[in-house]
Amino acid sequence: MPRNDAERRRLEEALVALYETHYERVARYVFVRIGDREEAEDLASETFVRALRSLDEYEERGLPMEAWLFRIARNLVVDHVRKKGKRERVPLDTVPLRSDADPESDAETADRVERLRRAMERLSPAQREVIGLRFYSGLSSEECAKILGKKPGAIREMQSAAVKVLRRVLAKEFEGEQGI
Amino acid sequence: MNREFDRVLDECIDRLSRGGSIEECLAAYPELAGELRPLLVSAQELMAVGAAVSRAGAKAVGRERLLRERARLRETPARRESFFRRFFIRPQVWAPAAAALIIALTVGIMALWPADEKAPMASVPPSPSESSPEPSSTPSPTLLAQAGLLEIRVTDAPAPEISAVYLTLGEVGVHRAGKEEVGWETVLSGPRTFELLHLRGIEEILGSKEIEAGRFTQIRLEVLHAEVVIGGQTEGAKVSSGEVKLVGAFEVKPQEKTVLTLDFDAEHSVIVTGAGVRFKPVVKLIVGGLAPASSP
Repeated sequence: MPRNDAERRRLEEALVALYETHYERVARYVFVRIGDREEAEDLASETFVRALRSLDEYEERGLPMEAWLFRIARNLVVDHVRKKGKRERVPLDTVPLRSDADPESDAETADRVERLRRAMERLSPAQREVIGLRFYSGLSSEECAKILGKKPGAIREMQSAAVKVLRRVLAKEFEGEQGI
Repeated sequence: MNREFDRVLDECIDRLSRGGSIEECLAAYPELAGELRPLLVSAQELMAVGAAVSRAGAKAVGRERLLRERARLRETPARRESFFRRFFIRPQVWAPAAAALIIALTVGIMALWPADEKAPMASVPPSPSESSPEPSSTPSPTLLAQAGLLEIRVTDAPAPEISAVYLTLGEVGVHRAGKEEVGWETVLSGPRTFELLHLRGIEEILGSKEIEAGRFTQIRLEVLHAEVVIGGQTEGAKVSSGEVKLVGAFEVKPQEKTVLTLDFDAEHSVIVTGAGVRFKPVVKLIVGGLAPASSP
């Protein structure tokens, strides 16, 4: 429905406020899906710009604005993967670090990220998507279900399977390191 | 039971994400503590890494871009989409109208058709070539002079747009010969996810286990989940059967390694229909160098 100026401005303000609280969440979700930090940051920013341009399409009574944002992000990820002509992947060559951390802590984080990244490679795209939304975007199973068009039970099942796979892979790596 | 465990794990993950501790979760569900603990440790590790992903500079750049875009949209008089653009980007608006128009046109043409038939192309003088009395082929007597024949056929073709098939297996068991009910032995406990198309021409080791030597007659696979990437979109596939039994005799000899290869046929396992994607496992069991035994 076309909106009047006041209504549109109210939604614009809500979106800008959401940017402050949700930018990182969207960026993390995209990062988990495509594995490239800079591209993830660009796509997170693009998500909000697209949302702004499409505000007239947003139906408040449908999805909450947060969930709507993640749907846009999800579509951008799909387009991105299609354009790149490659599968979603979690590469091992880009390790995100906090610039304020000390070198020793950086090395530990890098090691941990690399192990987890390798473990994440074992997940299917949908499992990775659920992990991205639940662990890195802070959404509940119910919210994930709305975004992905599935039942909450299916999300919980995928989450369980994904965490079990990660656990098994990490445990195996640990055994390998210990020479067990 | 699994659903209940999934629910408990979900609740514990919620607690962890709100800053709760693993011990708190385990205290709430002591009967599941043994199973929950390792999973929650991994979950917590995942969450800790997530905190390290984003950079402050990128957020500032994105904010600036968003505010600039907002200003641009406000300044541009035609920031609102025109009626026609709004009309055409909303299929729920124009689709019924287009359908009604097509139906009306079809009905109208059908109603007018007999009149056309009486004087087909009468106002257009035929060219010399068109007036040739020799037809290139013999038309069916039931066809109108100006009509062609449009034949609609259906066929089945492989789906080249499928770029990946992810399969998650649960438990893998083998059946020891001569033991009817208690003959199943678990060789691998899942879940284990792998991508089938990636495995073309190569073999991936699922796992191995030492078991008592003997003769076996069947292998049982628990298929937990399947996903198919079609045209860049990931679709959850409905698994036709959660359990696949492969009949084929093989022997595990003392001090020898027996290799079982599950040869999945991805192309024939994935069925794309209008109602969605189904995964009906088509898999062969290859025992060492012996002849393969097909799935029932």
